Amino acid sequence: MTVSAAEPARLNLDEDACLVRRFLAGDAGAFDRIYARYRDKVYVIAKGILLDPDDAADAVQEAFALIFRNLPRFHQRSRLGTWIFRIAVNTSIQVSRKLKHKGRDVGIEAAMDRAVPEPDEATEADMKIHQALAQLKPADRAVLALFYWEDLSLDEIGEALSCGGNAAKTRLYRARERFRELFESPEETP
Amino acid sequence: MKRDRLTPELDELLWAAAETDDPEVWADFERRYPKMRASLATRRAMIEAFRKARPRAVEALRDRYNPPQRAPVSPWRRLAVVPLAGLLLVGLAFGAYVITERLTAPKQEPENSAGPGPGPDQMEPPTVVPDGPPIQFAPDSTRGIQPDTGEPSLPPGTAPRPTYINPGSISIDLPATGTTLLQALELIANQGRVSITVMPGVQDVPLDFGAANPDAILTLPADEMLLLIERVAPIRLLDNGPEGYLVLPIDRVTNVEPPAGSEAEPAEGGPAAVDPNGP
Repeated sequence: MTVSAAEPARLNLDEDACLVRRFLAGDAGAFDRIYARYRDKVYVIAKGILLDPDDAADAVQEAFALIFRNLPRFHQRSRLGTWIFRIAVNTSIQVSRKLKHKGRDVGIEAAMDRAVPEPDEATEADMKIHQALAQLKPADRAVLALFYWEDLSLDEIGEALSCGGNAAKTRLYRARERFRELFESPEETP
Repeated sequence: MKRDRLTPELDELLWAAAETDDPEVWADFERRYPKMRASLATRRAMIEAFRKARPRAVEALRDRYNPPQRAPVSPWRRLAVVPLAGLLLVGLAFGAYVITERLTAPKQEPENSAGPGPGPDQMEPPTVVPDGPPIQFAPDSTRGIQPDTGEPSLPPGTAPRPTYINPGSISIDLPATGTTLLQALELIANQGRVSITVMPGVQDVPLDFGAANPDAILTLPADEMLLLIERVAPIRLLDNGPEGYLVLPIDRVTNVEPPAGSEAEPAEGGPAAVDPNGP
């Protein structure tokens, strides 16, 4: 008997569906389990879009509040993880817009300052990565985070961004090119 | 710095080679596109650095998270409340309708109970003359309605002159409705001064002469009145000569030999139309 490679993924999907059913049945502990499974992933996406750790943590809290309220409407037409990622992306982009209106996200320098990792951990490559990310649009950062950090397929990215797989491929190509241009031209950034 | 423009196909191939972790793919790409070796190395370094820059979850998230105390109600469960509320409203409306209907309905039951008489299914069965001695209805001046003989009152001390009266010629007044057979026979016996013997088994049925006016009074000679009653009641009337009339139940007639020369032959057909206001 052989076990296919898709077996673990199917088991995870079943576990998500089981958690959703338990939650809808009134088991509040099921949501704790969902939160534990997706908290780090949602934070990674939020951090990739917002760059600031505190803003990302706020976005995670807001995203899970939305997930908690809207989980009864989740009819499992898609994976729970993809649905959660979509909420995370939308929430983070909305938080980014709010910060922009408040004047906290207006300058590239400020964004880069927030994007730079801790000095003792930072390497030259990290600095270049975060400086390049800070100059991208939040939507481009979202595509790169989903593709390179969460290893989502183009179809899953399209679902998370509320677009098709082909549109996601186009967005990824453009975002990757912009990022490469910024990454390979460090001398142009202050 | 001027950069070489790559075709979209080659650029996509370059990204695919840079994103993989397979050294054989890198070597194969470099063999096929030696001039792109530097570009491949740059992109590999960029992607590797980007992947390593994946943020790590922070412990501060645990402090921010407030686990929910109660799961929200599913919208489908909320929708289930709608038909239940509808049923409740329908029940309340029906109850209000029933109560209003009862309060506003006219009180018919007391009127029905005070009506002219019980319904057909509530009527008591007619009494039957029990087995044993027959009932004798004899003319008695102390019972019933005294017949108007038309004789003038005599002065005291004067004996009445004996007169012969044909009993069958005396007129009988009988209500058209509300009289039973035995009541009518007793009335005829008293008013007509005839003797009527009712044999056991005769049913004391209510008499219905088919009069249009229920308050009408039938006025007929006694013998004709008896014949009329024979037509509407389950009896057979036999003329017993000087002994008067003999009334038998109709189911026992076959066992009785009518006396010779009886005038009371069974009538054929239904009862004749009776004019309640007739003579």
